[in-house]
Amino acid sequence: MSFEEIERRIRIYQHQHKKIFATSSFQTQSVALLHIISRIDKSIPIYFINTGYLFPETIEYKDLLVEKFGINVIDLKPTVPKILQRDANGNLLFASDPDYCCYLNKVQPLDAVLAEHDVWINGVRADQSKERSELYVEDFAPHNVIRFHPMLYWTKQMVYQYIREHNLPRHPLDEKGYISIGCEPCTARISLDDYERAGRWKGLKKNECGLNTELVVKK
Amino acid sequence: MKILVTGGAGYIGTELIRQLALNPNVEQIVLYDNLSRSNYNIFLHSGIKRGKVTFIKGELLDSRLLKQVVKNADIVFHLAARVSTPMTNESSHLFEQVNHWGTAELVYAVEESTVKKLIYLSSASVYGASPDEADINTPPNPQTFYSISKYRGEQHVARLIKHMPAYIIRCGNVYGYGVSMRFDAVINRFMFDASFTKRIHIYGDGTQRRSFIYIDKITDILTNLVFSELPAGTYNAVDRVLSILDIANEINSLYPDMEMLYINQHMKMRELVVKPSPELLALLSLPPTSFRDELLVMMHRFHNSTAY
Repeated sequence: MSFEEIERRIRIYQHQHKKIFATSSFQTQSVALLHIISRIDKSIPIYFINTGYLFPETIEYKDLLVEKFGINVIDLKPTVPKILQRDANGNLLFASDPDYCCYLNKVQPLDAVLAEHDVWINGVRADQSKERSELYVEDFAPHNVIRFHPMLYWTKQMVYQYIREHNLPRHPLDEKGYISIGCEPCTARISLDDYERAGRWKGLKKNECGLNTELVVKK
Repeated sequence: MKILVTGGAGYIGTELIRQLALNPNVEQIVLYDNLSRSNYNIFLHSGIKRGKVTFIKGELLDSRLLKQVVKNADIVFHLAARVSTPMTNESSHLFEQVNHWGTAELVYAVEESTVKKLIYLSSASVYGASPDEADINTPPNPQTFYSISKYRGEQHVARLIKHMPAYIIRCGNVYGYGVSMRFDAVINRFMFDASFTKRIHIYGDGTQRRSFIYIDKITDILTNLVFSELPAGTYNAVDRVLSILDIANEINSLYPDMEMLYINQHMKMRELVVKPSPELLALLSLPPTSFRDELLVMMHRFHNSTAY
């Protein structure tokens, strides 16, 4: 979708008085969509899911983009305290059950946000994973919400071209070899030969946190 | 002024709370601790009157409780940590859990509050080991589970330095008599052994130097930091650099009949020589003391145990 097409679609949702929100993980790949949203309507709430396990650099980058773009970012934190997120051995869940850790820290808090909105703008791209390639530009989410994926058919190259054209800042860990950045315990540096999301849950078959699997309704 | 001290029942926390409790400008002190070391001395032997100081038994990872406690504070001292005990090799995850992620939770709670000052007690061990002196600009190179996790905690606090008076205090090895004192670090252990068993154990050839600070001095600096206008930032709290043999010889002069047992005396052990931050040490309001004076206080306490 071009900028004009994305803008038109958002304007139609607004014309229909739909309650719109976006989510962002605030990494370099996210900056293009955040910039596009800021050009269309800075008041659209953008939920930043702070799991408690993020790199401090991610929070600094978020603060920088809020200041630079004037976007309306809302911090979303898990409701289950970390003390209750330990396994039978006393370890935090990311050390034994990353799926449940993602559920408590990402899926569960966002599910409550979904229930209060009509349209979720989500920046996934088809070239990122098999699960994402199976999504549609408009798709179904729980609570009768529409998932809107404006970047679905953008490629990595298109995102980086947009970043260069608009001279947008990059995540501070970008230059240290982190390409796809999520929670610190489950994010690794990758080499040039690896695919983009190889550093996420490295060594596990898991490659999605649940936002793009559990919060999709397959029809 | 309301002050929260995480790890308030620990070695430094106990002495800090004793000092803060004496200050008329301090209206309330909340001691937040999980009592993981089962050290109850602050409740029994500190002379602290109940009322001004209140106790909340809690964990750093109890995000909900921590947030409620932080909300009511003006100043937060973050001293709570899982500390390293020599000769044990616990899971790296446990250090990360408390010192890294626990600190992250505290930072988030502070960020959402009206707290005016955050003071995080880190460790000079973040510099790693080197015979060369490390100053505040030396890039950290932590080598142990403990120091790695403390340094990762620092990185969360460092984010706040740009926005509020937040301080990272890299503290040397603390020694000296205290109500909740620990005996797992060299000087206190040597003094205990010299006094009660008359034999100290020296690992390696004893020439290795380490960086220290006296308990009364770190307590005084931290207390004065509450009321100071020192710019936010990272500082080294180190008072003396001493070799293990320097320490042993000084103690030997106090206990002439003690013995020194060398273990692995063919080995050169790792060193940590840290340059103090003069701006931080300028906050000291105590009269200067010699190392011998400080040991004499401990010796006196060991020989004159008091009881009610």
